Amino acid sequence: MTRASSPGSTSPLPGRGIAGLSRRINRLSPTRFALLMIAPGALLLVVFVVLPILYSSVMSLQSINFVRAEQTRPFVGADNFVKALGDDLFWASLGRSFYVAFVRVVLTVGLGLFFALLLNETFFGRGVVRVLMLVPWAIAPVVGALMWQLIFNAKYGVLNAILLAVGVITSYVAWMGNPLLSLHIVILVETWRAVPFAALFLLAALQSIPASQYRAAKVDGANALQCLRFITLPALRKTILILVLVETIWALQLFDTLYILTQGGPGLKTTVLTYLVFTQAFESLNMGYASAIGLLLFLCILLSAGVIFWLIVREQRQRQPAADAAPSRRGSASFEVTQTWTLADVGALAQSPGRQIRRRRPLLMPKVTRQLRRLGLAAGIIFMLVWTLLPFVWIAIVSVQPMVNVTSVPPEIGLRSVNLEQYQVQLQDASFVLTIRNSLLVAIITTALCVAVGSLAAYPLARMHLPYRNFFMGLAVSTRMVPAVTLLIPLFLVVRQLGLVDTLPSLILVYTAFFLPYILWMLRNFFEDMPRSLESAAMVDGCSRLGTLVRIILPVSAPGVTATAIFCLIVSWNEFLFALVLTTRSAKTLIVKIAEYRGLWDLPLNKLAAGGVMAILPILLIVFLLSRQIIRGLTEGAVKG
Amino acid sequence: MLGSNRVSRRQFLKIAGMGAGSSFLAACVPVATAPQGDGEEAAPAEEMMQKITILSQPSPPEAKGMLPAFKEATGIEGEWNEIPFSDLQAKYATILAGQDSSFDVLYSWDGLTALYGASLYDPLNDEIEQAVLDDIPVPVVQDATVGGSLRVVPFSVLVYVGFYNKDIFEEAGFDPESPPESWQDVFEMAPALNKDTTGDGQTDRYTWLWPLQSSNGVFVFYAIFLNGANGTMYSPDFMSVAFNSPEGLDAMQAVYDALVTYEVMDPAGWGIGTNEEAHISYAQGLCAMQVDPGRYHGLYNENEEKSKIVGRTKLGLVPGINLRSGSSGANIGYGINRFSENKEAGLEYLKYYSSVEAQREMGLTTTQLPVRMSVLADPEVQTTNPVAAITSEQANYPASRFGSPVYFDVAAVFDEQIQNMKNGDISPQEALEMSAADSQALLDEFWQSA
Repeated sequence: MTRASSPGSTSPLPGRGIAGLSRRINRLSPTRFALLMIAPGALLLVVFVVLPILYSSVMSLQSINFVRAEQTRPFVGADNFVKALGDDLFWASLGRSFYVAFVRVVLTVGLGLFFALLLNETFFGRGVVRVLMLVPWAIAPVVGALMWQLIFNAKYGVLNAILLAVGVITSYVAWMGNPLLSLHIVILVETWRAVPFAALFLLAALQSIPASQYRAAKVDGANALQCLRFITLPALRKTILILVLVETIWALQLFDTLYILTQGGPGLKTTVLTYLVFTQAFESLNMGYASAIGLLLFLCILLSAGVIFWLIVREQRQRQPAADAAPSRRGSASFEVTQTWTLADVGALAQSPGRQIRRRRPLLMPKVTRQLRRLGLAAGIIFMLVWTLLPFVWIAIVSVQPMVNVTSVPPEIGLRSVNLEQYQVQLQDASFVLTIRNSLLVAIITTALCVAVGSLAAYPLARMHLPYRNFFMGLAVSTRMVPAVTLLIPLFLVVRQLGLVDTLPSLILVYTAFFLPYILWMLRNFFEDMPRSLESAAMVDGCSRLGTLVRIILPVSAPGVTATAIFCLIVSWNEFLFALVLTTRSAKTLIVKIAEYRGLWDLPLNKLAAGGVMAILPILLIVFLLSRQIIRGLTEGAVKG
Repeated sequence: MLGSNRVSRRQFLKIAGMGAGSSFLAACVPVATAPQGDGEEAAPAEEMMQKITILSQPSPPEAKGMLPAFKEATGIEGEWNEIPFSDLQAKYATILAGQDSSFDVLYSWDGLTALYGASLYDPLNDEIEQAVLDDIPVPVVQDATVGGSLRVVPFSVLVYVGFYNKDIFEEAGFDPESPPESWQDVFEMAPALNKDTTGDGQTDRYTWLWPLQSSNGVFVFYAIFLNGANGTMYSPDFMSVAFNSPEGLDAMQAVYDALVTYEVMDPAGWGIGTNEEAHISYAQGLCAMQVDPGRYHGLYNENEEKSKIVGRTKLGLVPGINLRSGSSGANIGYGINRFSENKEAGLEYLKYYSSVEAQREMGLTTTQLPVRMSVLADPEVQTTNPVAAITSEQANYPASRFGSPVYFDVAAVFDEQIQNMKNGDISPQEALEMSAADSQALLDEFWQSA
């Protein structure tokens, strides 16, 4: 069998066609090869992310108000920034943004850890529960927020009806009417959305802790709490910090939920910085001022991320000596320590004076303990399922009931009134079907492009010694810290310049560019874990560099690539803001279509709910079919940081 | 491998690659615009030149249902695009930023006209016959005019009228056929109209539910009282505020009384962001009165699928303070996108919708109310459309008058001060003065930079 010549070997002149191109690529120096691989991704990032950021930066130095008849843009220097820093609303919104982010991150990590611990246990139906737990993550933020709005409504919300029925309240509560309460409801909804990702993230790390450590601890007399304290939490410390980093970045960019649930009210008391940017840009039309606030928010996010990143690095550095030293202290080790740095440290921690696990006499008989444990597990799983599924169940019920039943006080839900009319009506609407087709095409092609472009770029970033590769990687990831709201207008201008407004390629290219930093991050981590011997063996066998990526790295990384692809599929299917601005008719997506039901004339809750259910189903189906790969992919390192 | 069903990795990658490439190419092909769910056929290529694109809020089906008649009358096909009000600003901002010509005709209502009038819509003074404008209520034309230039042609009058729940009024011992004439009447009735339905000692059914969650809702709320007091929001040139007046204070005092003193307003309103949610509550019989455009009569009084008060609503004027009545409005109109490349055809659309024939058709076959007074006064229209008479009467009193180039900023100012007033931090007089000072500062800043 003829093989392509190995890099650096003498080979005949490059021929024509794909084979010739492959040979030409193979002859490139490592640096040039790397640059060639990174080029498509870099080009997309520059055109659809960096250019809009630069344009937004320029706007922040100008006085731009679209209300004016004459569109002049005088240069005003730092005036917009000075104005923002002297604005009480800016500071109040900034404080609120950080408060929301802090509480959300704490709740998300706490609940995520709780759910991950539950899902790490062995119980009947664990696979199904793992899939169901992904529901909040799979639901578009806009649809999810509309769902919660329906639940928390003061007059006909189902939460009031339930609480009244069980005697917790004596009359209906105006949940969203109180600024403090409504701000915390926003946090609750955001937490609900964020927990599945956090749980999976932590579950992946949990599953990398060898069971032998727990067995050893049990032999030493450790109880469950001690195992959690001395094994699990130390092993998860870095993962938790990475989760905090990611969640903080996302939480500070909170928009969709707030936009639907509170619109910054009542009394502007739930306005956060992203919403302030939106109102300044799209209500007051002060583009210059809005850009300045957006950039200030970007700096805040960058600063916060920097601090957390510094903590992660410090953590890693502190642990490295412990890991190195651990084997020498292993003499009478209670735990079997593996090569993983965190686990090595667990051993060290467990043996350090003052952290010795004290053998305690069991308080209860082992049988009773086992039964209590089972009961606790069952209660935890029930809580997890109710927390996860209740809103979805309610939206499904609303979708098959007449409006008057759903909005009655209390709701009058009956089997006799079940009908599928809202589904039929929408599926018979050609414009609705067109949006489903658009969403499917956009999600599938975006995913394919993201994986293709991301793999090409992630491979040299992970496997080759490039100068400043970490710097460029950090630069790419930091572009995701710019609030999307700030970039809407510049992005629209770029897309318009390319003649792509209201076309599917515009959405595909923009989504690919915006999701690419995440994809790069996930794939790079995964590729880094591949043994170098695999690559070397392929090269010795005559495989080209590109061939090694396609034939060796990608197939071996299949679970990680699948998890990455699912992540991409979900976010591109659910995206709302860019689709709203970049499409008008032909390329309108399903999520934008459903959001349109919130009109001036009517609020057809059952139609909206039916649309929401239909928007969730394809994602659920995919998640269900590929759940094993997702979990495996995540477990094997795609998101381990 | 021959003789085997297995697909090699290379083959799989090739097929996947080809599939992805084909899909991408397919996606790049311009997609024919979908019919709007009514089974319309796509337009033949030769008719594409005679096509206009209209950007509107989601409207009742019958509004776009008039497009075939427009096509028959003018030969121009109208393509209807809907977007919720809350998302409309984002769209308009991109049109302005990109000088985008994707849409030829743009929806507007009073507040938007004042905001975007000078920058987004083409001037229409020389295009619309004076006879047409003379047949439209003067305040409605004023609201469509910015800086002396007509920017929008109104086509449907959306003055808010009063809806009164007959059952609740009867239960409280009031004659539902004689709804309150002033806000003072409402304040006096409120203790009887409000009710503790669960017996826990707390009122849970109030007289009126209004969406107060957003700044816009709070601002329109104040505007209703200001119009009822015969006050004015701004000077005609929008250079200065005019509500810092005795009438403005009467309005602010009434707002305070409605919110605090007499507890007319359902506190749940602070958690409700849209009129649609308030509509649902009124339709369920969860409040005694509502202030809404007349077209909701159909929803409340006829739609059994959505309403529990079918046949139990009394239509009337909105109560007043210094006047018998004063209301608010959102008169719908259309303007021509300044950047449109098809302005002539767009103008035909505006002329058609404001013609007597189209207005009459609208009055007879839709729940939207025509804007032309001659059509509103048509006995046949009044007989067919149950809200025509009351809307005509309501249109005689002040409505609207609250748009400005700094609309949303001023709305935020009112939101903040009315919240402070409700919480007892400041008096109505202080709320008014602070609102006036802050609003004037916003106007000054705008005009200085303009």
